[in-house]
Amino acid sequence: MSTIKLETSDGVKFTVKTQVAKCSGTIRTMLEDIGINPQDGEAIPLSNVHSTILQKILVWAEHHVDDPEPPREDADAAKRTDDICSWDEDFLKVDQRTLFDVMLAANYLDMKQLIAVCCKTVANMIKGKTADQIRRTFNIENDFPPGEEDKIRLRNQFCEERSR
Amino acid sequence: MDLPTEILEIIFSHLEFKDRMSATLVCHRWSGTAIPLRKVLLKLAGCWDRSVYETFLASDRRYRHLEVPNIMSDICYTSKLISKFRDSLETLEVGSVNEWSWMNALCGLPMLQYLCLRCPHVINSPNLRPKRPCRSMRSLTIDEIDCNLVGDLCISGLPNLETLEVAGTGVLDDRLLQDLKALPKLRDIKFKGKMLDFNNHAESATIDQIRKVEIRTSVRIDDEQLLQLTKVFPAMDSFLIAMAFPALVSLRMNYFKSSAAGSVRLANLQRLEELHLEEHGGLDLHLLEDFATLPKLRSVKLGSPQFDVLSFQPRPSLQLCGRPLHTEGGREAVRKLLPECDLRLPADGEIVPLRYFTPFSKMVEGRCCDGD
Repeated sequence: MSTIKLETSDGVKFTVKTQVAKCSGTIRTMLEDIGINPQDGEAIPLSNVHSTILQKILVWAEHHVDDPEPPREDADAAKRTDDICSWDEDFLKVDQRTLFDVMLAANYLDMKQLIAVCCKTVANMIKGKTADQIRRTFNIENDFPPGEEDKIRLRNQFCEERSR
Repeated sequence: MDLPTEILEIIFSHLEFKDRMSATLVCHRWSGTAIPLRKVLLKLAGCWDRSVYETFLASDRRYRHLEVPNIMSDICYTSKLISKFRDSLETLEVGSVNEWSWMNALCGLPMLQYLCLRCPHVINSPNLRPKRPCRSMRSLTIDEIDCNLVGDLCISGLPNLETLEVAGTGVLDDRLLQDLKALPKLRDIKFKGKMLDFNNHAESATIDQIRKVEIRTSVRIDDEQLLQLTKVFPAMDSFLIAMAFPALVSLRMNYFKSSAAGSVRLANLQRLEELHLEEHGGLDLHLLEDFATLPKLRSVKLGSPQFDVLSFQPRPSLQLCGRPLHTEGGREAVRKLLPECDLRLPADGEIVPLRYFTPFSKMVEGRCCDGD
């Protein structure tokens, strides 16, 4: 079984099965298209990913390495969020900082399935909440200039979801 | 939250519209990301509040789908709004409109795909022709148009039109048919009006490209009118729509007088898959025979206050159901006519006075006896 080495932003080196590493579109492109040769023993630098996060992501990739390609979804339909598998649900029971770091790293590593499941998790945290409750949930600052919030409120009164 | 915009967009894509609305009020960044403008209909129909228009005129958002109460002049607020969104507007619905504004709206909006005009009562000039074809337009709806003006619509200036819906009186005249003939991409037409108005000068037009026609009228189409229609189109034994639209796969009409139903011959509609006649006066043998000859017909709905609904399913296991079949005579007659037919009775408890069925059973029995 072939392996490759990955090096995180804090200088930690991971030895990973090539197949697992290829869950990342970014690494797959490096290996297949750009032709980086991992046999040289050189570690691929992942300068945007911290070792604690990569550790976590590799656990996810190891578990999902044999997943089939997901079907393409209709871009316009409100997509489901109730189809997160229980393993992923447990996997993502982490503090918000870690969840967001996993998302940022998954985005950098181009791991669409992991991004999707994280986004569904965050969407579920937003659903049914008022703007104020959402701000408190994610500790977001209300940074509207004075009067802006009222304008959006007025704007929203006249906006409907387009049906056709 | 320091997530990049593309991630935020994925998160918002999982939310229903009302949750997205809440999200627009969370912070400055979310307000611009939570609802993409392609999903938003800016609905100002019924709004006459100047300050509302001023707010939207001052905003930098370029809406794509707009509904406004009217366009009365180039200086009114709704016209200003349309000008502001001219390069982004894909959908426009206007409550009422004067003639120049509506032509301007057509020619000046390069992205416009769908236009709906309600009460364009002042379209009355024969000079109303688009200065140049409006190529982006795919769908046009005209509501409440006056009888003699439909031919003035000049829809031949819309070469990519796929869907046309016209409500008003006198909707199907020969000028319109000629226009329809010139539109290669037109697939779907709907007419709602008080009467069909083919004048005597109409030439028979074969319009191959149209796949779906829906006609709704609020008054009866009587025998005389049907006769007139069949004169306009030379083959007496065929239904007008069949002559005009041989490629039809779906036909929906309402309000036929009882005796006219038999004159509605469907035999030419060889590609017909669905038929829906509302408030139909009665099932008769002509119609049954026609159903049996149409190879692709898989769904028929006939509704009337008297006979309820008769539905028809694919062969070889034909199913007919409906209140007419309550009578033994009616069932026997249908069995003779369509031996493979599986008769399904209406649900228990739907009791209908017998007198309603008598004409039907007599008619079918009479014809079957004649045949013997």
